[in-house]
Amino acid sequence: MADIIELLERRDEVGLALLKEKYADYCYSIIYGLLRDHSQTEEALSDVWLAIWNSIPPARPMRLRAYLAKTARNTALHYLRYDNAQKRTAVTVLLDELAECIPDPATEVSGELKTILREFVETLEPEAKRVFVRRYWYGESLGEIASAVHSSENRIAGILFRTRKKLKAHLEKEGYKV
Amino acid sequence: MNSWELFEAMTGLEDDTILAAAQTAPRRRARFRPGLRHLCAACIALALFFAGIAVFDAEAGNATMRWTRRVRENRVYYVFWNSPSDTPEGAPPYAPTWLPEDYALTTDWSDETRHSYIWTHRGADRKTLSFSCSYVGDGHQQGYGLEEGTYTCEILVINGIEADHYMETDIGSGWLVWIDRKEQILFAVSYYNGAAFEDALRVAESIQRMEGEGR
Repeated sequence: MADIIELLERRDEVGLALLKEKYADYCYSIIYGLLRDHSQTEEALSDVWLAIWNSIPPARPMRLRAYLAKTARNTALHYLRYDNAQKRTAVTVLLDELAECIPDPATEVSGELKTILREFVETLEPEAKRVFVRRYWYGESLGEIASAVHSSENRIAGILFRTRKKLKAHLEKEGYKV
Repeated sequence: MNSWELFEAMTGLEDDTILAAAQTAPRRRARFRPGLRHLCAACIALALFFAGIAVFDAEAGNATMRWTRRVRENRVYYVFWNSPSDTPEGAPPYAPTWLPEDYALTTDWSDETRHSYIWTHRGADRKTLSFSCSYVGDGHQQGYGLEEGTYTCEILVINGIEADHYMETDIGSGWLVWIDRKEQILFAVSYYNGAAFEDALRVAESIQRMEGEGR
């Protein structure tokens, strides 16, 4: 069997079939983690395959799995953003938690926020980094994270609390303040 | 700035960070007693010694058989140089003679030099097995959907031939790749979506040339 990216570049639909066979569960779990709705997730998953088919080529991702993960997350965010406000309930708790990190809600978002956030995450200890990303990138519940890292929900909540405090301080330091 | 914008900005995290976070943390192992620690160190030293011999032999074999495994743009490729350049007609006439129960053929695809089959389990779990065989021509290059840092590799023997077994443990999939040096054919069997490695190995061991379908 040939490389999936090579097949997609040749516009060979076998590439898409292989992609679905191999990564459907992976992408489904990322989307469902954010939407928490099976029918919406199925719909969003179809959008992911279409997005991949339309973007490769010209894109030639170095890390196919990471590329798929980001496409899946962006698609889920698109549903959360535009479908209807009710669906956002799936991430309401996450958003409330992240609100604690914002020094001043009136601060304008600069194009550097992604960079600042990326740099901040890379400074975290491995365990805190894993827990933080699983919570706010994958949208996992405390129970799901605790099970994945073999820990207790209380401990996970503590790690997240301390990391959010650090993030707030980091954002202030980087100019996100009154 | 609001929390939604902060949540969206998380999309910009590093690829490695995203992938590493998704992996399940290994359980902590019990500590070895000091005596056992020394014994383990001795075993590791011996293993490294024999691994060195194996690598040396494998490289010598590659030179003789004019094929090599390469990593280009972090993806694994098998490249064959100066091997017989006669262009084959039709796909290689090989197929497995055993399949686990309840798997159905979902894709059967071929071109001048390659034939691929994909079987998917009839259940809702979509367990999948695939098989492909490719002729090896001059400068032929066969790539695999394996990215550096996402798999481990071990050497197995399939019907007397050394095979590379790539395991992508975090998504429960893997590939067996080997070459029939006499026929200059590259074989690959993959398993994913929870299909069992044992089934993939048995499929690989059952592969035979189909009678009456010679090149």
